[in-house]
Amino acid sequence: MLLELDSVSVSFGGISALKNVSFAVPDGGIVSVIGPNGAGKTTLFNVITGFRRLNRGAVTFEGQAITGLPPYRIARRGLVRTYQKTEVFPELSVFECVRIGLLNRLDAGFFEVVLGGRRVEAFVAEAPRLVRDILATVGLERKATYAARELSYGEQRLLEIAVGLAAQPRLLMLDEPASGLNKDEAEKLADLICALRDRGITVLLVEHNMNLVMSISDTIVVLHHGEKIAEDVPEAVSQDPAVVSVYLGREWVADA
Amino acid sequence: MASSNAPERSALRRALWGGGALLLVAAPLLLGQGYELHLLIIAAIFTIVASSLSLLIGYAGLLSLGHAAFFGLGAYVSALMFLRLGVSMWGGLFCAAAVSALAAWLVGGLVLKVRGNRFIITTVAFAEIMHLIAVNAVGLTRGQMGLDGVAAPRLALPGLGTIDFGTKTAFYYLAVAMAALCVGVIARIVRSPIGWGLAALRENEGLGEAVGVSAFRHAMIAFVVGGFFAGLGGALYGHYMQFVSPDLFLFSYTTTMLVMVVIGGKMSIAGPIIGAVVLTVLPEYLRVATTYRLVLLGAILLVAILAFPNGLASLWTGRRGRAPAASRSG
Repeated sequence: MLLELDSVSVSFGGISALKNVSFAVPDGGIVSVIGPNGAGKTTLFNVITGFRRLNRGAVTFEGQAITGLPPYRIARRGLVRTYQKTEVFPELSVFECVRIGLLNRLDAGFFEVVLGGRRVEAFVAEAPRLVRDILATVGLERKATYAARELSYGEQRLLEIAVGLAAQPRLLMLDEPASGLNKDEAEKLADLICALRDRGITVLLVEHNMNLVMSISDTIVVLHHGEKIAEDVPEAVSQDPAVVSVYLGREWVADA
Repeated sequence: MASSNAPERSALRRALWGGGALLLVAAPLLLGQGYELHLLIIAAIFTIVASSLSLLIGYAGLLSLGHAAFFGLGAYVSALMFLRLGVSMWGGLFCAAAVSALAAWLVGGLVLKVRGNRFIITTVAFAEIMHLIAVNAVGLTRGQMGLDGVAAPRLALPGLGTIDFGTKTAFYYLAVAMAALCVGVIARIVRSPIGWGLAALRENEGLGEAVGVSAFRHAMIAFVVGGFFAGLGGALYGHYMQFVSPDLFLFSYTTTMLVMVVIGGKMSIAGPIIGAVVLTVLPEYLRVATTYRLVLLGAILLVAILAFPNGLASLWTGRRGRAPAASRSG
């Protein structure tokens, strides 16, 4: 298993956001986490990536405990996330934004960088090509010189994924990447996610867009009020009585 | 690097830097040993201090209002080593920078965990604490009396005679060389991968952390390097003025440094240099306005900041208003 959650519980101010959540993400493939608003999906992301402390339980990545590590250390191990509210480096160029993600591949001390050690020089020399490749992967190669804030909303989402890709993730966690995208853009996104999976990047997805989730996920985990109520392949989850009752009254398999 | 730097512009830029360097070397011949040279020495020293501050408030996006603490600390360390231990300025400069960097590391370990108002207030408080120590540790610092007799050395060059750094000309070249070293190191840092990390810290700390960029580490680098050069600048200032007092820790020094950085351009290499020169020279030439000197200075600075929100350096980098990001890459 690439990522394992063992009885993870989180509460703030006496309200429990996650209760005894356990599930595992196997290497390769796409796992999605769904659930109504407030089900604890983003809290789950924050706990896994070290942005929020958990009260009980353990998170294991590639067999090693990452519980309690600061976010950047977790990222260094190859577990990289994006944000629900799209995040970019607004004043930097698209090129520069992606280049920052590359830093995750460089392990060099202050003096080695400033004095220009051979590894550092090679890294810097290679950076432009890597950035161009990544921008081509997400389809932003024509926007390299634009400021990140100048991009459209959908493009900023792609840029954030590109920044994450630059960090060379083993597991890429995407928090509602399709929110705010039109149908066309969402379909392109689905293609992109599948392409990433085919390159060997495991994807953990939180998403409201049921078309997207149903079409690309290998496994779906359903959260409700902080508890896991189902975990199965898409067809089974959509038939699950507990899941259906949670989503009662919603257009369950249509566009969210 | 990506685009926008037309060849003509970079050629022009090289010519400007080259011409500037030539002028700097020739300045003592053109200006003599007079007051103008004194102003240039002060400007060179403040170039060091302002550049080090630009690393913090510009590149790292950390509004440190306690930079005078490291400036004053450096001045005292070097002065005390000279007066009490008989260590010459050369050793003093190095130790002052090292001690200031160490202090920045210690203080940074505490204050760099917080951001925003709490960070700002803590940096102000640190400078205030240093001021109080300088005033009250009378046995060591002579309190408000300050320390005088902080001299600059003579350097004997075998076969070439001696250079007396007590003269303006010699000290001028020393100060300019130190300023060049400081500006060079800072330029190197901000254009290296560390500079990319600083940009992540400045622009979006959370996203940076999510892709493996430690905000704390980069903030610490900026803080320690900033402290190092502020200490070096302070030590040079003490040896040039031959006098060190608790006033060096005052907020007014921080304000001066801050204005230099903002007026010149907080995210450009040339900015702090321009700011240091303008803020050193301009007040002197405004003396013709006698009573209204400072009013006039304030008005000029206000207009400058409104017309060039990215600093006077944007006059020649061509970046006014909000920056087209591509031209900023290094």
